[in-house]
Amino acid sequence: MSMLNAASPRRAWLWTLGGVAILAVFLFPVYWMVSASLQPDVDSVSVSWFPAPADLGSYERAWRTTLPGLRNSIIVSLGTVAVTLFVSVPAAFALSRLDGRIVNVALLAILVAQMVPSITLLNALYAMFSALGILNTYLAMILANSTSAIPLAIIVLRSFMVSLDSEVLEAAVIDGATLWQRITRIVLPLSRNAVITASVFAFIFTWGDLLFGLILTTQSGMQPVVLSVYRLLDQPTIDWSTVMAASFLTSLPAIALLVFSLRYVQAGIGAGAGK
Amino acid sequence: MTASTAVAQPRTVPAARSTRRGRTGLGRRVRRGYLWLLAPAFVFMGVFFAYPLGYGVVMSVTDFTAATFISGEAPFVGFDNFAAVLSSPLFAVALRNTLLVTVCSLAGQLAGGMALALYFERRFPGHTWMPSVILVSWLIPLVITATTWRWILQENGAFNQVLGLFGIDGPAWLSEPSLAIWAVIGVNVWAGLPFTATILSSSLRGVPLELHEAAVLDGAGYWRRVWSITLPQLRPVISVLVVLGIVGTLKLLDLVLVLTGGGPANSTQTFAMLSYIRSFREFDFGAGAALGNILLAITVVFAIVYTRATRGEQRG
Repeated sequence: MSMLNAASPRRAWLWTLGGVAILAVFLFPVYWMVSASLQPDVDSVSVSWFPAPADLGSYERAWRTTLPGLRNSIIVSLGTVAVTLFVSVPAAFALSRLDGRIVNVALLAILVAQMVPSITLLNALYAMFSALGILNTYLAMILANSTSAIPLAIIVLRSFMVSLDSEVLEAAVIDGATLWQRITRIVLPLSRNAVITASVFAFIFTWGDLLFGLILTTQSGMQPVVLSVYRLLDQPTIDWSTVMAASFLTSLPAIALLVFSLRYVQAGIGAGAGK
Repeated sequence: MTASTAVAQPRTVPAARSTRRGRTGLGRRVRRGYLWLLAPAFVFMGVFFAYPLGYGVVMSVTDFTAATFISGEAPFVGFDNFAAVLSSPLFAVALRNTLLVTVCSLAGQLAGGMALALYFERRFPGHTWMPSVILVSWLIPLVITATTWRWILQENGAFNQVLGLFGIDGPAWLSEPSLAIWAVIGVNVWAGLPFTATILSSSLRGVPLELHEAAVLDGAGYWRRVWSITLPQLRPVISVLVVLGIVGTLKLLDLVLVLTGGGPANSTQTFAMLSYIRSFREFDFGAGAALGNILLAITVVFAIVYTRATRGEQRG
């Protein structure tokens, strides 16, 4: 693309300027969230464009409101990752080794599963969990979130595992390794990037989920953090400083996780895309 | 990685066997072992996904209400729920909104994503790092994005203050029945653009340079090359984005819930919103399930029609 798309040096700065304008459009809400969270007791009129002097008072309030939610979300998200991996790793490995009709049918089923709107599933899931007496439990939220995390995890893992060398695996068979040993000692270590990618996706989707939490919890002590932010909007007068501080606290773990795992995720997706 | 390959290398016997049998000729015992590995997924998705889906269909033909949880009774009512849902005036509103949001979001995200991808394909100071910075907005959970926008779009909010700099007196975007749905679409496009642009931009790098060079020699201008080379080359990626976009937007719920809650005056109701409200606010689970199933049917039909259409195109 080198010569064809090179902007002439004099006009290049105009392009950079345009780029900065585009960035502004995308970063403004993020800036606004952080900026407003650092100003005490703001509403749309009193808020100023720069948080000077910065005030951490709203973080104190937000921290108190969101702390139980943060704890719940961490438990539910980690639980979902665990269930998702436990179910998806063996299935993805099998689908990467098997061939023929069964693989096509399974992949089609996964595709259809990804299309199903959560609300369609939730009508019956709510009735089912209510009958089982597990509403307002971590288990209910972990199971529900896993149903939407598993299909994607299987696809990510399988597209990587297809490239695993079958010679290595068959060598282990000769050595007398059981299927389970082969998965834990060979397949998992070799698929590290894909496993991390699938885990990060499962964690982040669960972290950001509003609907499962909204429907499956009725006690405020059990609600995930996204839901506690949403509940703050239910008040007759909304304390925007606190809402924005709570929003930022809620975004932080998701952003941090992705930034720290970016290296593995890129490798995981890259390897899958090559197939 | 290196350790396990090193272990494998001296063993030529299994290698020879695997090439002879190939991938199609797995031994029956090996094959059965792999089938067992599918069992956890099969059982889990069967119990917590397929069964509830089927049960949802049953619910949609019964009078399933809050009382059902106590009495356990849900009398069969045939298609009454569907009839009630279809004849409700809100059904038409939800249908219109769902289609409007889906079509406009898709168009906005594809056109905008393509524009962004082409923009950052240019060489200028910053063209490499700017796209990754844009992705930051995509990392924020959607509900949080919606929360922030709900504030920005208030009558005296930041968006109207910016408009005010240009002498425009902006309305209260989210409380004006004729405008609210467009605000929802706008936020949805904004939220989806970084992802679309990133995917399109990485595919742009895969378009063979020779095609462009040959076209330049033939005297084709920039836009001609975009239209006749870039877009056709990106067609497979665009197809995937269209399907993802349709499937993702038809079920739009959390964004609406946070931005408008379906209001003002029901002007931003979507199918998913209606299903949620019927089931979990009015406790008419039968009607909620009926709406959920109609939504699922629309999604599947869309996906099938689109997949068929593009497949036909590629063959022809």
